[in-house]
Amino acid sequence: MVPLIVLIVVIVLVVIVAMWFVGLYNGLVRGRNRVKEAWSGIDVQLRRRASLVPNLVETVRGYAAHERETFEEVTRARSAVEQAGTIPDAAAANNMLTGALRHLFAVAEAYPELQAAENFRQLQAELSDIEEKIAYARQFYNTNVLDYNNRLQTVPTVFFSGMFGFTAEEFFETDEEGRAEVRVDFSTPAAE
Amino acid sequence: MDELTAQDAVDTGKVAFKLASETPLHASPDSGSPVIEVLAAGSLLTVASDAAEFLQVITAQERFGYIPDSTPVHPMQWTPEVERAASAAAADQPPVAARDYWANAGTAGVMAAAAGGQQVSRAAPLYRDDSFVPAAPLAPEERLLIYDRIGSNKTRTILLILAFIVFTAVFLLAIGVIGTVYSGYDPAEDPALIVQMAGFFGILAIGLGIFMYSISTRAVLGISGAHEIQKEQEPQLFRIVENLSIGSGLPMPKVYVIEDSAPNAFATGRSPDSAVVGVTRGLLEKLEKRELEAVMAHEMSHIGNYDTRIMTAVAVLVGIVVLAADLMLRFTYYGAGARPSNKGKGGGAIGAILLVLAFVFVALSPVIASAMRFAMSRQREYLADSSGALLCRNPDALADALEKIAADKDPLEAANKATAHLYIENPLKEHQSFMNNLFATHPPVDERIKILRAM
Repeated sequence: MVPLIVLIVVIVLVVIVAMWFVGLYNGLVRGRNRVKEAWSGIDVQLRRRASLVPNLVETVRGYAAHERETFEEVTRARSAVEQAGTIPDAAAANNMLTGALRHLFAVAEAYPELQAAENFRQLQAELSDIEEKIAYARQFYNTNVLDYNNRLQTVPTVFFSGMFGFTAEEFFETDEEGRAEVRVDFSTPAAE
Repeated sequence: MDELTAQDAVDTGKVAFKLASETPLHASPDSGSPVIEVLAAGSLLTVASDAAEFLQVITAQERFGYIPDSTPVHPMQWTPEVERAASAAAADQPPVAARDYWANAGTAGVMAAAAGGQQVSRAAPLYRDDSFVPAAPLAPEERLLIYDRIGSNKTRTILLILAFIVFTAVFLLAIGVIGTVYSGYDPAEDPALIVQMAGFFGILAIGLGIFMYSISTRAVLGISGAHEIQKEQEPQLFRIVENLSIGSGLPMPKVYVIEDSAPNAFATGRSPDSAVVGVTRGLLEKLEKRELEAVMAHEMSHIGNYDTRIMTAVAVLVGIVVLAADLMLRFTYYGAGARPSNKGKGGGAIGAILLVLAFVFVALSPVIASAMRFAMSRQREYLADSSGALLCRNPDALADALEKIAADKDPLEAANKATAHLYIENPLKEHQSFMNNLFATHPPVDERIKILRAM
């Protein structure tokens, strides 16, 4: 009788530990998937922004044809965004594009006719909207990364997460220039 | 620092405290940031604390370079300017860094407040000599980090929900007792029958509840006269909601507008997928963009925290309790009053006591249920304030918006007692009194603003 009870207790304990372990593991998988999903939220906005660039360059070129270097800078940054493979790369390319656009809008200030053009103002408003959306998507992504990394790097998951190939995810960082840009160049209220 | 003894630490702390409280500093453009001066004096204190805290103050010091140079600042005080600088700095950061900011700001604030002789609970560990701690009661405006507030709020809501479940169970049992007696049995002898009766009424209530719950969203929108809008009609509002839904990871809710000049906003819907946020025309006209964003962040938080679902469910539950209690009292008073004695069985002393208790409980239950509902509603408002502030990264904007909404004396025509809990701020503009506070859907707006300003 007694051995049977011991056996049952042991089995129950093993089952509880196994279920707990499965819970931890599934939690990590969920966390990782959320990070991926949140990343696609940023990616969509980055691509939207990149796709507006040719249009913007053409518009500005119509009024300021000789600002070739600026156009090249923007175009280079745009293809960097489209080719970025990893998250730090994408963040760096995004910062580059932000800087290039900032430069472009600074150049554009010298051309009043361009400033007055309906097409240009619409593009500017749309870019400023995307800029805000990137900021919010980044916030959501980073929150998810924080959650996931916290889970990954705390006891007890930290003991086995490496075994199953879970690694910490990278935050999506902007640099000082990017933040300044949001304030300076896109502060023009959306013209509707 | 390792060589310092506890006594050295206390002595140094005392010197720092004396210096700090006696030396008023004024900021001037030449002397650099006033906060750096404040913290320079404060860093004496950090000798008395440990190296880790010292490091945090240094970090805070670097980051507080934001403060306007010409502002005269009394040293060692956690002034509104310092606070604003901290929130301005934090607003620009990605979440992790922002949290560091708050942590650093908290540490710096503790240092500063402790040195200035103000009592902040977290300052206590800095002193190892009890006689030195300026003994004052914990201030109600004790500063908590946003994350802490969200945590403690969730705990309180869970406690309220548990209380609600217990209350409902007792209510059903009380109904069961009355039902048992009026069917001619002694509740003291037939506990199983009480449970059966309670179960029977419980099932009836669930059926009614599901029906009320399923029509609730349409009913609310119908009552308030809100109409849905598209992006082209209100591009700014629509964009703000889009951004916030990206930032919170929630599906894009439907956006409604109520044509009313009183500024207010609401969220409803039973799940994030079918959620609705709405604003009045007055809100769109009277708020700046950042304030509107903060208000919508508050509303989106209601959706994300499932407040819309919980409060709809609770409202339905309370409605049923009120209805059931009313029916039960009328029924026993007018209808079946004579039946227990007819069968001559309802007479046991314990049974009689149970019956009286059950009657008292049922008679009081509408009041208890409503008070609990409103307590929960107020709790959810605080929670939505905190998580809304976290979502839009701008607690001050929400505080400004609340100030404007509260200052507006125009009551919202479209709201009534049944829908008041849905709005960001009590739309009925009632006066403050004990009873009104107990049955208020919203916490006092001053209190909410104070908490937001402290974030």
